[in-house]
This record gives sequence, C-alpha cells and structure tokens, in this order.
Amino acid sequence: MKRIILTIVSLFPMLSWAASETPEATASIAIFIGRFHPLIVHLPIGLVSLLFLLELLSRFQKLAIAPNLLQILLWLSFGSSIASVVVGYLLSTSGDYDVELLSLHMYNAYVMSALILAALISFKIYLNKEKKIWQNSYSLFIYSSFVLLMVVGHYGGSLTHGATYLTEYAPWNKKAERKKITNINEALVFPDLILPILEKKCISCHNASKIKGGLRMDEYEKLIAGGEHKDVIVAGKPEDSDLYKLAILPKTEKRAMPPDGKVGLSNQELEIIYWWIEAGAANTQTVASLKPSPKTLQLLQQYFLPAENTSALEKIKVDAVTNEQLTDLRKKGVQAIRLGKDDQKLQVQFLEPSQTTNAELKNLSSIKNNVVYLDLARTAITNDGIKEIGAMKNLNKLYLQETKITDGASNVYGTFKQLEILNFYNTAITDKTLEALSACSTLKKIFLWKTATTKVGQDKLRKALPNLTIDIGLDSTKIIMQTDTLKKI
Amino acid sequence: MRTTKETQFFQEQLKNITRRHFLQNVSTGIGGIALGSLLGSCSTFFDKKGQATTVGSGPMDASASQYLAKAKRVIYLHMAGAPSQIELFDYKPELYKLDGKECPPSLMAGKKFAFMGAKPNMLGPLADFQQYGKSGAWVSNHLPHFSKVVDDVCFVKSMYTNEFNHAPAQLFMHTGSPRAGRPSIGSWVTYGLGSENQNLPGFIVLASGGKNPDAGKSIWGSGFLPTVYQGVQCRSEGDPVLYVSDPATQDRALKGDLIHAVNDINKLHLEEVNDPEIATRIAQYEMAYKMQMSVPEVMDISKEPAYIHQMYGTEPGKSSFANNCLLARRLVEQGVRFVQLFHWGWDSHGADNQTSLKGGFRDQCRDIDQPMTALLEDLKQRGLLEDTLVVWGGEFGRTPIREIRPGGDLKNVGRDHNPGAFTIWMAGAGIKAGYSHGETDAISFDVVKDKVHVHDLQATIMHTLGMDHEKLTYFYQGREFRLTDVHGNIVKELLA
Repeated sequence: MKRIILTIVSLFPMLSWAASETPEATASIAIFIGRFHPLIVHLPIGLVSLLFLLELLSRFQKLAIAPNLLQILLWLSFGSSIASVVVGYLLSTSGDYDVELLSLHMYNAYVMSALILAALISFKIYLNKEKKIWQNSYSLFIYSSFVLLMVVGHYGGSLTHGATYLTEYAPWNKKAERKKITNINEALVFPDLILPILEKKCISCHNASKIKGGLRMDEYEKLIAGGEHKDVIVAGKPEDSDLYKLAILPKTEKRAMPPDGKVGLSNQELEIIYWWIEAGAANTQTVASLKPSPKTLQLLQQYFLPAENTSALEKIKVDAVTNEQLTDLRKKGVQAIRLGKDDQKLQVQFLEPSQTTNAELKNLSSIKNNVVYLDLARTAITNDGIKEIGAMKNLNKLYLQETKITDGASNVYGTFKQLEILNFYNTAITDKTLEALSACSTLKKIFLWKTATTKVGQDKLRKALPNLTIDIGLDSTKIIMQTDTLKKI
Repeated sequence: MRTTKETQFFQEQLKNITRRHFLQNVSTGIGGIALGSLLGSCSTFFDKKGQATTVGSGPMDASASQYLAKAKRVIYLHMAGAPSQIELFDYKPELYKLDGKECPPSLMAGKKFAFMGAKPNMLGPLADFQQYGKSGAWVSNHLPHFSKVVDDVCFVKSMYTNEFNHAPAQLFMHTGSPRAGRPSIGSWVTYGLGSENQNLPGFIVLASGGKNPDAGKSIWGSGFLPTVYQGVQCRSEGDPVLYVSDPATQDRALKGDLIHAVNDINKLHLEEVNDPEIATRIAQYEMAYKMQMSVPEVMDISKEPAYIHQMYGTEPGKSSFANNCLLARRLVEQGVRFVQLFHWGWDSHGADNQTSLKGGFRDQCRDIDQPMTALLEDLKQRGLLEDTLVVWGGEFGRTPIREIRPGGDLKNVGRDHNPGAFTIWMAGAGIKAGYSHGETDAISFDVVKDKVHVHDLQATIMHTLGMDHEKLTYFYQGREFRLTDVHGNIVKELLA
C-alpha cells in the first residue's frame, strides 16, 4: 500500500518541475512532454490487454499463472496508465483539442486508472487472505478496465484522427456527399472545389474535434474567421493569406503547412487556392460567376474532371506476358517491348522490317492479346498478313505504311474494337478500304498520303466518323507552287 | 533507385574486383556484407528479379520506358550561338518605341553580360510581326514558311538558363551541367530506352553552319555512361562516315570474318574482366560492320523525289541544315532514337555583317525556315509526328539592348547574350499543339510568367519519352547522377 502512494507522490516533482519556469517556458515544456502521450499510451494498452487475456486464460482454461508475474504486470499497468494520464494532461494544455471530446477521453482515463489500482489492491488482499470474493473482485476490475480501455482508446483516436476517421470509408457509410461535379462552370467554389482540397490535406488537424492553432477549416465561416492567426484568408490577396503563404513554404520551414511528414499541396491545388483567394474567396458562387481565365478553367477541369481524358488504351486489360517470352521473340526477330516497366501491353515491330513476311507474323500468336501497337511499316507483308493479325483484338495503333497491302484485307479492320490510329501512307488502298473503316467507331486518326483514295471516299468516311482526323498529306504539285511563291517574298 | 541496366553494369564491375582488391578490403568488407544484408531489402542492387526485367542482352537493345510514353523518338534542332527571340517569336511592341533610347543603368545592375559595355542603348525589334494560325501565334517576317505550321507547334517563351556564355550554356542545355563530363540528353535517352534499329546507331548527330558548336563534342558525349551511348556524328557532305566503304579490293565477307574473329576474342576478354567498355567495343564493331551497308543507304538523299527536295530546299551532296533536316526524317523513319542537329551561326553580336541582325542573321533564318517547316510537315504526313518529338531552340536568348563593342562598326546591329529569357518550340508526340507558354516582360529581358528552366525542359522531354527524370540515374563517383541532377520539374502545361 505504501508503495502505491509513493508511486503517485513520486510523479509530483515532474509536474512541479514543469511548472517551475516562466509561464511561457512552462507551456512549451508541458507541450514538449505532452507530445510523448501518443507514445506512452501504448504501454497501458498492451499491458491491460495482456492482463485481461491472462485473466480469461486462468479462469476458463485453468491456466496457472505465477502471482509474482501478475503482480509485476499490475504494477506496470498502473504506473504506465498514471504516466499516460499525467503526460496526456500536459498535452491537453496546448488547447488544440475539442473540449467535449477531450473531457470524455480524460475522465474515462481517470476511471480506468482507478480501476487498475482497484484491481491491484484486490489482488494484494487476495494474496494475503485467499478469499474467493477478492479473486472475483479482481476479475471484475480487470474486465471493466479492459472495457474502459476501449472507450478511452476510441476517444483518443477520435481526438487525433477526427471523429469520423474510423467509419469514413465503411461500406455502410454513404456520405451525404454533394453531387459529383460534372460541369466546372456550374460548380460552387467553396463546397465543390476548395473544401474537397482542404478535406484531403488540411481538415484532419483543423476540424471540430481537433482544432490546431484554433483554426477550423471544415466550415466556410470558421475558415474565414481564422484561428490564433486572423489572416488565414485575406480575400483578394493570396500572398497575404496564411492558407496560401504557409502552404508554399518549403517543408524545412517551421511554419510550413501541412507540417513536415504530411503530404503537402500539389502545384495544381496551390494554383486553385491562389485563384480562389484572388477572386475574393467566395463561398457558394458558381465558378462561371467569378469569370475565370481560360487557363484557370482548364486547370480546374484538369484537376476535378481528369478522367474524361483517359484514353481507351489505359482501359485495356490483358493477361500477363513473361520476359522469357519476350526474349524468345527477340531471337526470332520480333522486338516486343512493354509500354511501361510493369505493363503487360506491348508495342511490337520487327528487327529487320524488309525481311519480314506474312510467315513471321505467326510468331505473334502467343502474344496476340497483348499487342496494342503494331508497326509493320516497310515490311514485306501482304493482305494475308493483315488477316493473320485480325485476332489482335486490343490493337490501338497499327502502322501499315509503305507495304504491299491493298483493299483485299479491308474486312479485317472492323474487328479491331480499340483501334485509334491507322497509317496507310504509301499503300495501294482505295476508297473501298475507307468504306470498310466506317465501322471502326474508335478510330481517331488515319494517314492516307500517297494512297489511291479519293476526296469522295475521304468525305464519306468523314461523315461516318465525324471525330476522325484524316491526314492526306501535302499535294506534291502544290508544294512546288507554294515554295516558289514564298521564295519571291 | 537504380535502373535495371545500371544494376547490370554494376554487377559486371563487381565481378571485376580482383583477388588483391578483395583481400585489401576484406576487413571492412565483412562489415559491409553484414550491413548489405541488413539493408538488402531496400536496395535493388542485388535484385535477382531486376535482371529478368531486361529483355535482350545488348546495351543498345530497345527496352521498355518506365511508364507509358507518348514519344518514341526525338529530333533536337539546336541553334548554336543563340538566335534572338526578339526578332523571331517574342513580339514586343513596346520595344520599337524604345529603340535608340539610352538603357537605364538599373536595367543592367547585377547582371552579367558577355561583352556589353558601360552605356548602351536599347534596340527595337528588327522584324515585323503578325499572328498566324488558329492559335494566333506571333511569328516574325523572317520565318514566312514556318508561320504556316504554328498550329502544330508549342512555344515556350519563358525559358531561362544559368549560363551566359556559349560553351557552358550549350553544355547546360544538353547535359544539364555547365561543365564537361556529364552525359548528353541523347545518351541518357539511349541509355534508358536503347535503339529500335539494330543496324544504325541509336543517337546520331548532324552539324551544319560551317562550324561545330562552341562546346565541342562533349555536348553529344556519353560522359560517365558507357561510351556505347555517345552520339555518332555523321557528315552531311561526302562520305557520311569517313572510310565507311570498303576498299575496292576487299571482300565484304572477308571483312565480316575479320570482325567476328576480333569480337570472339573480345568476348573472351569480356567474360574474364567484365568491363562494360569491352561490351561497348564489341557492339561498336558489329555496328560499324552493319553501318557499312545501312549508313550509305539511309544517308543518300539523292533518291528522294523532286518535290521532297523542293519542299526541304535540299541539294544532295551539299552540307546544309536543309539536308540535315531531310536526313533527320530519314533516320527517325528507320527508328533511330535520338537525332541531334546543330546549326551554328546565330551569335548575332553585330560585330560584322555575318553577325549582324540585318545581315547574317537573316541568312540564318532563310537557311532554317523552309527546312524545319518541311520537316514538320513531312513527319506529319507520314504519321511519324505521332511518336516523334521535335525540339527547336538555342542555348540562351539575346538582350533588348544594342551591343556596341569598343571600336565596333555602327553599320552592323547586334544583341548580347541574355540568359534571362529565350524562346524555344516543340512539336509532335505528347506535346500540346497550338499553344504558347509563359511570358517575358515588355522588352523580353526577363521572364515574368510561368518560368521554365533548362532542367524543367529536360524533365519534360524525358517525360514524353516515358522516363522519370528523377529515376533514370547512374551511379558514379559515389553518388547517383541524373540528367537534371537535383532539379527539374515537368512542365505539365506543355503536355497534350
């Protein structure tokens, strides 16, 4: 019993030392010690859980546990929980936390420490008197301190990570989200543009429960009002606004926000925030009403609606191909290269194009689904070769320029459902092939310089596929005329 | 993080450590081994998987980029001597009015100039400007052909550099460092991506303008990278490579046997000592043998049809920028990875007629205008611009202030070097067409908006090729090196 009292008393010098300096120094020392709280709390968490587990084992599995060991564990649990409480109290003096949540955390922690103490006393008495009632009361205290541990831990977690941290991504938690923006011009500046950025990078420390620097950023009015520093937002003057000023500081700078160790704002995010403050830090006005420059509009588009631009290529999923396969192909004169280091999609060409015939194309059968770019330019392939590659359903780019192909293979192109770029330059294809191409709705660009196609055929195709760019190259007779007239200047 | 190829070279060098070295180092070595196994999990140094990620075995075999690339090849048109942005693309109406006025000392305070003296005057643009194309790009009357293709081009008007003299600035532009010894951008690219054509070098250099660039051959050198990655200069006049053709009495098959025999011996030596330079030598011998056939063929422009010659303004057999542009197209058509053109003669100080903005400068413009325009149009109609990136630019800009040297000729007009602002353009794969990036001040002296540093440009070029400029590194003299050293940000606005 004496020792218990001694333990508690021995903690006081620490407190009085913390209080001995000037008030400011006290505060900073208190916070310095306080920041060890997240470290120390894990000791009682582990120890109390262990005691709880041992108690279960001894009661239900009749496991014999040395009383000395239990006593040590009890002492350690008690000591560490008291230390956590003291250090935690010092941390709370920083005032960065929501008072309500903080007091819940604190009082529950007091009760938990008391329960551990009670368990310790019960255990001591039980060892002396060996009466069943003390054993039962010990169990009860251990169980209840374990329950309290959960409660305290939960509130502690809510304080550091925000109350919604745990369940934010739970499957049942359908956030009452604002509708996803589809049109940048109609988006409301703060709720649709700025708040999502703040949510990503700032709000975990500046919210209703954790209020670092007295600043809350989860609501427009609170953000504008500022915290300990009032100049968080100076409408129209981003360079004077802390929100921008501190965010552009290098991480080595003490005042940089978000602090070192957290992900900072990207250049795009910074630009968006700069624009928002410069345009008056509006709340629910639409983007259009702020009359952004085309460049800003483009920036917003890129940041908030980037998905529109992902090419068909990125959506293609294919089976894995091994490096051994690719090395084997290389020995056969096929240069098959991954589109990226770990990509399974391949760009393929032949090491000796002029010696590549239809027969060589058979080598590609093992990777037919992986080939997305196929360069057959200047090879000796013919229409039969095109039929050979008809099975490559993921082809995205196909280069056939300067080959002997004709219209004979035109029915194959319709089978490529991902094809975007097709090069026929210097081949003998005619309007017949162009007619067949009108079935390729994915096609974006074709090259027809020096083919036997006509303007009529090209116009027809243009009508069928309005988004298609057709490059017919320069007319050689016109080149000569143009350069002549320019020379005269 | 080391690249796979780098790991390979390193393993080769490690194998090369002799017994004496081993005994010397064994005391510290054991500690090192222990540390190595501790750190092993965070290093790719002995990564067995790493080895399997390279397909093929030669140092020049094409390999995958780090991520999806837009461009596969680069044609870099370097205007050695630094053309004046004020007479070409950077339209400054205010500057006309300032012509002849005394330059306020505050403008020159704290700046370094190569030649300019104490009390110079401002110099108005010696060109007329007009907007062209749907993009409304400003182009001067010196480039009448080029003004037709501005909608395919992306201008960067806000370039700046650290260097104000030619040699260091050219080195800076091409190697990322103002001092000799670093690999050039073409070497980095072929080191990262290899070559798609096994019969031609992956990095070819063509120079015109009567002189090589001031920085010499180190701007296409491979620095500390294995020398297999250095640029191969071809001549555009006479034999493209000296002595490329066999003497009349020598049989090609016999030459082949000779080279194979030498290479077999070299391979034995390579197995013994694993020096990557021996691998380079083997590859070069093989390449030279193949080039005897491939080079005369690809470099012979005489078979191009007449309208192509008309379009580029080429004259077969002559050394010219036009011929080099046509060659560049022929080379990328064959899958050459990096074609570097140098055109010397832009150093318009106004010291004589050749360097006068009213004289030599205009001839230079005429020399490049039609060929570079033809190059873009020709690449486009062949579908090559889909995966070729074209870059045009000098090593720095020129001052809005007139340079008069002591005893200088007042007839001739020129401008001094200006590292503070210059214009480059890019076109082709992965680049936003019909766009102009950045702004200079009212007299094109300094960049005022969207500054793009040389390292940023390099990072952006590497990005279009699917390479992360921060991850393509080479371990040398105790640390990792990269093209952009510790700098460079990708300029996302330039990307399509």
